[in-house]
Amino acid sequence: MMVNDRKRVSSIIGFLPVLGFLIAWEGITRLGIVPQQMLPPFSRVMTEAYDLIKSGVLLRNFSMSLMRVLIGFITGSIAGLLFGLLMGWKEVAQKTFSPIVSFLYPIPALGWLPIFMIWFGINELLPIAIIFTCSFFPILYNTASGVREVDRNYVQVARTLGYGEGRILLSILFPLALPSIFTGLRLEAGMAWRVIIAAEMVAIPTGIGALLMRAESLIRMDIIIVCLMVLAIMCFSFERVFYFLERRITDRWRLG
Amino acid sequence: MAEIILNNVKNFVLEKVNLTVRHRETLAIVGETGAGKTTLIKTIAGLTPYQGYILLDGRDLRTVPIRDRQIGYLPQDLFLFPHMTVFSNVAAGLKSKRMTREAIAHRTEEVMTLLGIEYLAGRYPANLSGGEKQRVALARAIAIYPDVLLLDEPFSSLDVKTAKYLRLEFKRVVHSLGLTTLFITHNLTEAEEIGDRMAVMDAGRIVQTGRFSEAFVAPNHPKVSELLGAYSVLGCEHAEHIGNGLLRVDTGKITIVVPDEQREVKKIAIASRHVYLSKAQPPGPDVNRFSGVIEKITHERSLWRLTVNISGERIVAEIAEGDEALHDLKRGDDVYVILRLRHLRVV
Repeated sequence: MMVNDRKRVSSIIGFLPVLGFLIAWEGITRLGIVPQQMLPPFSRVMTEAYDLIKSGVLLRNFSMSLMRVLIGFITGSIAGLLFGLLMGWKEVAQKTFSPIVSFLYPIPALGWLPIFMIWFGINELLPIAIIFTCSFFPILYNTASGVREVDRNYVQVARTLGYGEGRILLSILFPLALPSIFTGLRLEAGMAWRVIIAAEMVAIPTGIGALLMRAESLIRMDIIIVCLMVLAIMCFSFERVFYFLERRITDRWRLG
Repeated sequence: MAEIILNNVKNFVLEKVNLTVRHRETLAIVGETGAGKTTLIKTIAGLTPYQGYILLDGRDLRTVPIRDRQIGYLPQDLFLFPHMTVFSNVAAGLKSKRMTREAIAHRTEEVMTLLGIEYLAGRYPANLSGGEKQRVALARAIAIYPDVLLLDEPFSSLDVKTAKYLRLEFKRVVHSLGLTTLFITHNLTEAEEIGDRMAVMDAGRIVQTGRFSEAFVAPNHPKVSELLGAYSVLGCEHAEHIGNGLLRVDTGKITIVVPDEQREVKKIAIASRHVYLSKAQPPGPDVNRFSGVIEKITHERSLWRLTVNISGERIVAEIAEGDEALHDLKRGDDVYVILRLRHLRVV
């Protein structure tokens, strides 16, 4: 059997449980084993998804959530990365900021919601600030520990080759810390979606989370499931993007 | 010129180290683990603080920033930058200099050709063999036009065959570039093969410096004797060329054939670890094979040391504690002694 054939067979085998799950879902709801108000059939969920896309409701709410996630995640990641590099490289920065970071890092992102509501009010800044906080601390932590874990012998060799501080940081420490940084980015990319949905459910009137809450008040299980599917797809896609980037950038030199 | 002088150099490991490494000289630094060898070369490289003076061509190294020292450093584990290709690794030091892109590429290619690694240019260190990594690391260290090369056990992680090949390669490159070189080794054969002189370190001090042959004929510190192992040193009454690069040496009591090194033979040194014993008469031509009587047996660490009297000449042999073929030898036993030509040193 050729390698490509083997891959095709393996992906078909991998899809079989999903297909089985969907058939079982459709079956138990159609046969009345589970009431349709509690769990609508898969086909009805798909029909509702089509209607939501066609009416523009899903796209409008999705784009609001996506924009918030992208702005909050990108700014939070860049800030976390820069602070992390500084804390990983310079012991004085590590000693100065470490107690503050250690104190603030364990606070769940949604724990900041009441404070941010008072500081920023209920507007676009609020979910962006939440996502920023959600991304900033873990990426800072992963970057700082990634830089600290780089064997200092690389730095010594670089010094004997005439590298200055800036080049050591950018050409040696940053690339060698990339695996750790990517781990942070990958985990937090998914987490940003989980947090934005929760924030929108609690405090923001637009976005996928808000749509979820409206569907809950109307007892529309089909819309709720559509929103959860969007959330699952986005979490998965964001994580895969960083997984792909990590492999693309680091695999060629990490793997022998 | 690239002469290094260390004057009363002290730090957390080194104890008043005084050492001169002459221009274009290759100095082997030997000593047990923890003797301070790595700290010594890291100190010269500017990676470890110190008190005292280190002069490179008369310039106090404290006044010279690391980037201007022109010192090539090759650490024991090489530390090739894993995220850079072989070409980028070799070029790494050149990018810190004010050189054009073309000049960097030219120099990098030149050094890679010198070491025969041009075919590896696009590969990453993770995809290289031990010997290839070693050559890339050496190329990276010499690409920066160093005056001085510092190497920390450069061949220790290689198999015997590759290490031997690379030693010859290394010697050729260092001599062709006229570099002043300090290299650390645990391997005495390596020290003798590559080094012009050697320095023996113990507890942060240099206890003896000199030519390899001087040290084993006249060790001036117990650590030197311990490190070099026991040697039997025989005098020479008469030497005669017998062709094929060989000399027949008459010690007055026995006759030994030794390599003809085209210099006067005063003594012959035989390392005890290279003296072979046999209870039965060994087959083959009767050259450098003698029969003798065991005169003395001593035990040291995991070795038995046997002094064999051959017609009045005493030769010391070492056998491992677990050597089953020879474990029952005792004083007064007759034994055959075999001396391997390539392990005989003319002094």
